[in-house]
Amino acid sequence: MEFLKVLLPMLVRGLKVTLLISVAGIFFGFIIGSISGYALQGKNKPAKIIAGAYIWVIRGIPLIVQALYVYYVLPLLLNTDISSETAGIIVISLNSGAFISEIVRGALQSVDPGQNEAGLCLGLTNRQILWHIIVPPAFKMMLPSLFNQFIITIKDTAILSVIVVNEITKEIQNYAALSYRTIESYTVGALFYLVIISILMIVQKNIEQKIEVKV
Amino acid sequence: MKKKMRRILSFIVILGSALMLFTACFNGDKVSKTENEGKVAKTYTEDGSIEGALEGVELSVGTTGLFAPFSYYDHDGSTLIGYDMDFLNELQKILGFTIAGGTVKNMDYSALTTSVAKGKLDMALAALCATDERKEVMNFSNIYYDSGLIIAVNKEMSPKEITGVDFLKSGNYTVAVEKGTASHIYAQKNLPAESIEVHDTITTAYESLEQGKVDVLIQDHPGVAYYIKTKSGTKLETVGEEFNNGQAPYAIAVSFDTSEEYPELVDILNKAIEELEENGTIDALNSKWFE
Repeated sequence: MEFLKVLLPMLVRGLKVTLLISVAGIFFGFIIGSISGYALQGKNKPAKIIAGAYIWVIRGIPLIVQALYVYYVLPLLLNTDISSETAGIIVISLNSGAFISEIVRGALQSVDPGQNEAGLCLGLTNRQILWHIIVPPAFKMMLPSLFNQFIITIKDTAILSVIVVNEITKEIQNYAALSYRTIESYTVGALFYLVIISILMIVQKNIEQKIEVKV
Repeated sequence: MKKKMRRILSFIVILGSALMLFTACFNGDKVSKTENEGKVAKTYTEDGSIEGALEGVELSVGTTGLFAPFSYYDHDGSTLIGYDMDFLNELQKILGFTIAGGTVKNMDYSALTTSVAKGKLDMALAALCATDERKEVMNFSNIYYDSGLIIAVNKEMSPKEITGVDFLKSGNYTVAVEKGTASHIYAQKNLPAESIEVHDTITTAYESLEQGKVDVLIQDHPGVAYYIKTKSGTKLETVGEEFNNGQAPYAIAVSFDTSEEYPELVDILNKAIEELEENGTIDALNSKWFE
């Protein structure tokens, strides 16, 4: 088990990068997804079309191709440089944003229209209705799905290894390449992911139970 | 703890232990070789003559196709050509062995060295450097081509103060290397981990340097020289002296398992290399591929 002394620190190093990109990605993805999801269920036609087009592109191109595109092609088009981590955050944000759009749209639409009418009767403006009456219950409804997306995002970061982001999967590959320990590296690496995501799944279960109790 | 939670956790623990056990037991995948009763020819064992010494012997050979001009693809994108391919041909002419499956197997450097280390391939020719690390897991013939590592920079975008490999030890510059190569081994041993970018293939490493995404690239000198010579409009140039020369010259890799099956194999290869040097074949190869 001597090899673990070399491999585990590498995996932990990779974990820091994985978490950084996942958290940043979900954060920006949530902002993008909220705007897009709101547009999808709203009445503004142009906004709906733009949001629809965005989701169509993201769902229509494999994540790995998106990553290669952002890292290698965008810099040439924009005549600037984009680092691996930045490209990773951009890709993950855009990708999770598309799926979060659906979550947001569903949550906003599932709030009883009666709430909206009650707010109008009370003389509230549309914006006040949105922020004080619609968003709070909608947000609570979104939380389990958002957390689910977070778990999916953590696994998606593995793809970023192709644009040389030193996340967990890349660390596994780097170690395997020089140690020739194919079986050990990939098995330990897979278990590493499994343990982390299992912990998150348990946390998710707890959150879901707490929400059910409150509502 | 809830019953369901307990069940999930015990499942994870069992799964984990099972996989750990599996790892511990599985020590080096032994591949069942095709019945190769063809031992080394009598002519060798009796006179030391290498003509046809491996007649009837079948060997699986691997390369990468990723290192011009030693092993790379022709313009059609599918024919493997290069110094090593011609060299392999010459060895076959003298020694008489056949290549398993009729063709040389192709994979990237990390997969290639791992395959030989695990005995999944008998032999590999791909401008392979006989490094100390690799010698622990496979055998090497004598050197057939001398080489060293070199660093390449982007003429326009790399920091001007980089004039040799020693500058990289400060960790202030990003360095690209190809996974599994001698450059990767060198970088991992000598340079700060945060400054290294490990690319799956040298193609993305070159591309990254051309775009200025990295400051420096380390690769074998012949490969970089060939790239710079043939890539039109390249921004790359080599700086500094060749280094790591003791660890970087090319030799034929032979797996430990194959050496066990044919104990004389490495000696035979060495004698063949000697003969090819004496009869001018290697000089001819040098002129053909390096003008």
